[in-house]
Amino acid sequence: MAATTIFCKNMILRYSAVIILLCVNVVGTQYATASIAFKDVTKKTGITFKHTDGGSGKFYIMETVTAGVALFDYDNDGDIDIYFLNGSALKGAKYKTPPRNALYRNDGNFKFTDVTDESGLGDTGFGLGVAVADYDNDGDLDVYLNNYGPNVLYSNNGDGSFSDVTKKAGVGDGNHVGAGTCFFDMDNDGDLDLYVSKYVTFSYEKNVTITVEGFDAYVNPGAYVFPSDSLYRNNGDGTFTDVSKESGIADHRGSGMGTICADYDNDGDTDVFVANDSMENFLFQNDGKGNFEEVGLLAGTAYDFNGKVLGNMGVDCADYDNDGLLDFYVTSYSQQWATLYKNLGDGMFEDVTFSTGAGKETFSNPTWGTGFADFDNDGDRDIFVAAGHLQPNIEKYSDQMTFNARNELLMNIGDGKFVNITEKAGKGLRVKLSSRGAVFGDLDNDGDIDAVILNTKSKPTILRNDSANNNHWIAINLKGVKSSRDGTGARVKVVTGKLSQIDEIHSGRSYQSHYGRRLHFGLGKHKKIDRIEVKWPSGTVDVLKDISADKLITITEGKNTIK
Amino acid sequence: MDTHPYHSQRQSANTRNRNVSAILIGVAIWLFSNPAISAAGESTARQQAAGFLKDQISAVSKQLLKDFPEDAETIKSATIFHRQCNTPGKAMKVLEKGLKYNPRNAELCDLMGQIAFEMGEYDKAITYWEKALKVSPSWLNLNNNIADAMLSSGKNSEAVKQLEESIANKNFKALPAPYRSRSYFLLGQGYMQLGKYEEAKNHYEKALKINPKYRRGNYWLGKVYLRLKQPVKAKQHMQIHRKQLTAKADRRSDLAEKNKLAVIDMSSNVELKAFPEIMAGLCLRGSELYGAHNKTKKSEKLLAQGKEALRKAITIYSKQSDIYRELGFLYLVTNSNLSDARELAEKAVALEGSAKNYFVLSLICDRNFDRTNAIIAIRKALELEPGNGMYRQKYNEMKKRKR
Repeated sequence: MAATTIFCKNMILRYSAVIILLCVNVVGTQYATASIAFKDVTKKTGITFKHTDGGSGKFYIMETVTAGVALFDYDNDGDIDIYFLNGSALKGAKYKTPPRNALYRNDGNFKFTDVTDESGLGDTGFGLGVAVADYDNDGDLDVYLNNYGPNVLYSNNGDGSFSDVTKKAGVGDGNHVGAGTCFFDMDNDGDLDLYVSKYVTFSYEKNVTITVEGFDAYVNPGAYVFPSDSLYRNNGDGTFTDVSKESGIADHRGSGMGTICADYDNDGDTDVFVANDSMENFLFQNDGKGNFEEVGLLAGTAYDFNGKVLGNMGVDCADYDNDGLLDFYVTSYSQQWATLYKNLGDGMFEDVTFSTGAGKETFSNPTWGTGFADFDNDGDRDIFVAAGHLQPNIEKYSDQMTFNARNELLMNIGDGKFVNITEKAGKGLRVKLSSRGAVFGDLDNDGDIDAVILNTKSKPTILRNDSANNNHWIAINLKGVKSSRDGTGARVKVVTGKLSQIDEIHSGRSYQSHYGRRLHFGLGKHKKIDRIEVKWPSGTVDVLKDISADKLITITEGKNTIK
Repeated sequence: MDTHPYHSQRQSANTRNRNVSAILIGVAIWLFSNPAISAAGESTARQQAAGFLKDQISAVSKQLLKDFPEDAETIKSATIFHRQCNTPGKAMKVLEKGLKYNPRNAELCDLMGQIAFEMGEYDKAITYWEKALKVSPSWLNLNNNIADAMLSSGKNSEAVKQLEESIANKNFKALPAPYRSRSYFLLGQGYMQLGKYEEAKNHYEKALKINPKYRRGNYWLGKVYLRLKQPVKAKQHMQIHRKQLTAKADRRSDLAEKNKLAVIDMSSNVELKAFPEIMAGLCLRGSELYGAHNKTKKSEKLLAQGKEALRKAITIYSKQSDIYRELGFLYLVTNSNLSDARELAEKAVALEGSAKNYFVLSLICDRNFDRTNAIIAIRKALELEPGNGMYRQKYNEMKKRKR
């Protein structure tokens, strides 16, 4: 071997060693022992639900985008139950037992019982999106399903059962391929209105199929007509009026997927963000009276950093940097980054995915369900991203993408930056399936946030948060009086020392899913909260002081007290 | 055998003219960017032709990489092939091996950078582009690539520094316009990220002055006007950007609307454009290598194999101009079947009037002593690609010659 070659090799080895040492130091001090850990406890939960996409080999587009999942306390017993959406037989498919949605009652300690039959929530429509709220202000939570085919509104009877009230309510919404959906009080009149996103207008006669390398594949939604979304105003008597046209919503046609309603501009009314697949996102700014202007282009949320259209999938919002403004996180297609839009406070957003590291490891495969949640209770929001490809044959013609993929966890390290800690966050994050909806809540009431993921054509994944830390927390239920009974749209600010956090109650979020009626704040080492402020959609403000941590409290509108 | 710079120059150009937004086929699948919409039978034939050439290229490249593992041209072709097949992981493996033999080959380093960039591995991309730049400091466009990767990994200040230094280089002005405008745009993006909006605006404007049609230029200018609290101007630019995107989407929708119930073949259309050129290039290079090692039989066999593969591809699918062109080119370079070569080139032009097809027709006419038609064809190629230096040089040569 030539002397120069040996010299070079030695130098490379030397430099490599130095680089490795440097890396170990940096990584070792900060993230080697990630403080978030999830365990896959699916098997012990008793949940037997298995998702079906309703396919028969014809590659109908809706097969690959189903479905969402909801977390809510359907029986008001203080723990969070799980509702899985399901596909149903599309043309050509046959099942011995028709697939249906499934409701599981939480019996505590991660044990669940299938109560689909007695609840009447076993909808057999083709499930895509779901939102949950008390639309009739009677003190229990109702369910709206945004299906392919007729949509369904289930009213909670208050005894653990539900009734289909779609016809009376007038929210069947035609025959489109549905997507995300949200309840929100668009005019702050105390009852909840309904936003219904739509993906594409589909008919079997106009089905488009594609092949890649000779393998059948699902087509881009651009092959179909994009419908406009629907907006229904709640009349306060159990019925709704379609106000899509007069509100300005019907002026925009899109390929809606994940949808969330939130007050991004802090003006006291609730706005609407719609993540559109393969076209610009919509940001509908509310004038407070239920009239909407689409401002996504100028706000900076329509496209990514480079002005490129993305295949947007799910969306969540939260104040990731604790600056008092709600930011958006949007998941997207393969070989695109999930995108973090930072709210700049003047009605504008900046795509800060690269500068914050919020997209790390989200590039290879499509990403779907997502949520900002403080998994380690340290006072800032981390990000969970569900992943998995939509093309079942992808591995036959790509050496980079896989149908089944691991989900990703991005830990907020407190300075507005994120670090992907998936590898170190427990065995629960080693599960590889093709995930869609993802939702987050404290399923065992132990003070940390667990996760439920719906996997297409497979069983769900139930992840128990086993993070080892001594951080404190507070969970807050809201009870509206003038505002909607369930507090949807209320803004809560929690102040502990220098740490100030905000959150809102959203109905419908992530990828066609619903969770988060019970607000959860991590408090770090703070055992006491200095101040909790609740701004209700009615304009009422409640302020509570000196509250001890580590418990679930209920705040009733106008009472300035906790229960 | 007559050699010609056509293939190596084309591949070099492909390598050097890295388009930042180059997307893998996987993206195209979903983004619907290059569909070949046709009746099911035609689609099947196209797929079969693509599949056949894929197998042939795979076998030839494997053989050549085994026999000449150090040959940079073969490594490059094999890499481009894998990239085209949406198997960048395999491309990376070929390059990793190849770089062991050619650690100072700037083009291979650049290719590695490109593939890493496309896979979202920005730090790796930076490493390889920096290696390429070290070997080839005059290759200033690499600064753009490095800065792009830096911006994509949040290293905004470093990106700005890289670009400022590149622009200050005395050779910067000599760079082709697309590279210069890209430098200014990236610099604008860097300043934008750093919150230096006036600087960002100045650089966007410089970029647009050089290249008024810069992709997404209006988006960026609109965005910076927003930050500078000039909403009217911002809206104007944003609306132009939106219109451009909407027009593109509408074209796709129209295409889809007209072809309901059709089978849309997303991959073979792309592959069949690339595979014939890769096949011909590999066979020529291999033949040259075997010849240089006194393995004449192997050299001749490989060329025959290339010609036979392209001939068979035509019998499977007869509507792809690239196959005809490359077969004609192989005849030309091997100085055989020159009248057939001309027929093939003419057929290629009849199927698709592309600059490449006209250029090869020109070369073949010239070889057939038909200088008049050679000049007509090369003029056509130049009309279609006025900035192509190779076409210009050949045209000037032909004009100077008396006959």
